[in-house]
Amino acid sequence: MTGATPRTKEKTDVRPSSQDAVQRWLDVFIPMTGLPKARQQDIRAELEDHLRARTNDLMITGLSEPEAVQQAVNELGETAHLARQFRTALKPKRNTLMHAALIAIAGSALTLGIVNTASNSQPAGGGRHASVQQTAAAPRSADLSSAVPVDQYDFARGGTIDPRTATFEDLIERVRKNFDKPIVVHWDRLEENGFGKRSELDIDSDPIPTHEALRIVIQRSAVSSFPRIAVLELDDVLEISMQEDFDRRSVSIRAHDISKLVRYYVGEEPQVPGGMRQSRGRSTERRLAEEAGGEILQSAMMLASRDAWTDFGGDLASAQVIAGSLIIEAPARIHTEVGDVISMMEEEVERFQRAQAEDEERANRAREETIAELAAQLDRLRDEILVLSTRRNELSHESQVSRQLQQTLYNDWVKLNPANQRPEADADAFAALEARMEELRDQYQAASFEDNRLEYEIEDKRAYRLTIRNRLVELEHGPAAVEAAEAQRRFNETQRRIQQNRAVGGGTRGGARN
Amino acid sequence: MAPKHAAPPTPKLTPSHAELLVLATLADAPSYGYAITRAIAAKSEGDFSMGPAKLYPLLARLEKDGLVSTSWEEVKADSSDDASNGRRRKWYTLSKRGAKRLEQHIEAHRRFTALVDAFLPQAGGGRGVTA
Repeated sequence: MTGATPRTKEKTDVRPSSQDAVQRWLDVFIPMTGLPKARQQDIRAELEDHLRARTNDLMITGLSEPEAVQQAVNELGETAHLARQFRTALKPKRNTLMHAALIAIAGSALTLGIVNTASNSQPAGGGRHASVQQTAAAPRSADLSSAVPVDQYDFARGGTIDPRTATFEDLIERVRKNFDKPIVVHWDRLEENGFGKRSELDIDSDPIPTHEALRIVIQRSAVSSFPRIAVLELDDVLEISMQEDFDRRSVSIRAHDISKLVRYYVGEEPQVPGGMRQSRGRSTERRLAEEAGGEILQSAMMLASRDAWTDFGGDLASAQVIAGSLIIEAPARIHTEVGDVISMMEEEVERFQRAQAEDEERANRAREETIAELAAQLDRLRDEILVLSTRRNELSHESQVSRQLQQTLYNDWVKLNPANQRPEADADAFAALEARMEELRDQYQAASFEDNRLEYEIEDKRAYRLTIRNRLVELEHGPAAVEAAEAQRRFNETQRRIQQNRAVGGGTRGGARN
Repeated sequence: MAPKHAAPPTPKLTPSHAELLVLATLADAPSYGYAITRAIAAKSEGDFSMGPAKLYPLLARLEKDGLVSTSWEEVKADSSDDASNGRRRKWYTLSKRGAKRLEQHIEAHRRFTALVDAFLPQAGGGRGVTA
């Protein structure tokens, strides 16, 4: 919007909260426009106003409210068509941006001076020949990629300009006077695209430095996607025309290497248990590579002048994926953009791979530390089990000695008491003997309890040790190795039992044979 | 009653004429979408139909091209519970550039009409244009 002061400053959403038929229709229609959000809100408000006003009028003629709403909506026609109409009307093109773009280019011209071409002059592309002043030789195609970035010029020169009254021709004349390098302006092409010598600068401001006016319009053009005017700097002349014309003059076919990206997208073959790689087969590899190439091409087209590609309705650029390359027929500018996109993607892939490698390294370090800790724990448990087993052996020995002593005492006791009656003569000796036997029984019982306790403790520690050992095997060789080790352990256990049984059975049979 | 086929066909608006009518309507006074459709229908006695499907995209383009400037007004309905209460209305005003465009349209239209008129039979009889 230019120049008008709003009658009422709007700050709040004034749509009614109830989701009536009008709102429902708008809810469906507005997203179909595909326009920026701010623009959608404006269109929504305006159409809502229209529908409500129209509904009120129709109700005065006798229609019920639902009938009136329905008719008002019907009058808007088919929604998809209406959405298309809005899109077409607001499609970025021509005049407004032409102003912006040309001023931006005139900004570049500040350091170079201007030569106006004859009114019928055109760039050499598009099947027509440029008719420019004698200083402007037909540009070499190799030079066409060197569009001049406007921000590389010294905007501090050029005086002031009244942007309310000045035309583009005024502006260009002003900058021409300040600079000596000739400029070729293809006015006819610019006018064909909606911008002429008499076009206004469209900046509502008091006189400002020329470079400020240029900056304003450059900033406008930077956020728009209108067809652009472009600058081409040759050795002795600056040429101004439509970007499209320069593009058509610089079309070439080039191969862009994407093999690195394809390798990344396809990825390594999956691992199978045991660390072996599973072969995917050639056809799978080829299919994955084709998919990857397609995805990379889509990304490149989306990011590099999307509207220029035939896939998106343009007619400047087309591409095919062949093996590890994008074969692209396009203007030099788009080749550069595609190259930049591929470089950016490669950088991103490298960054991701670096991050992945760092993560892997961290995980490996943590794994190694865990393995060392578990191994130490395993050793400690082995030592503890050894100590307990030794203690158990000692207890076993003590019990055996105690048992033998008990037997000896029992023999003595029998001798003293052959008739199984307490001897009166050696009553004291007999009592002492019985007390000693009692003591030995208690000792033996205590030793048996301790032996049982040790046996359970050793079993617990062995079970815990087995768990730790499995965890270690898993960390070092993967989960499948644990299963293999466990199966081996069960097999060994079974073998051991069979051998024990054979030994027992063999002994019996051997005894029978003997 | 005249037979139906005797009635002249309703003139159909070309895009150029549609732009001319809207700019001319706004030259009288600032207006908003629905009022513009009513004004055009009233002035043409219903012969020109500028439906919303044509009008609003056209207004959007005129605004984009700087031929009109816009502002918003908050509309208050009579009843506080009216669903339309608090809705916004977009007003259009002819810009300086729009006025210039309107002049060009009028000039082009007059020249075109004059050229066509030259081919028409004179009032009160006479021969038509022949090769």
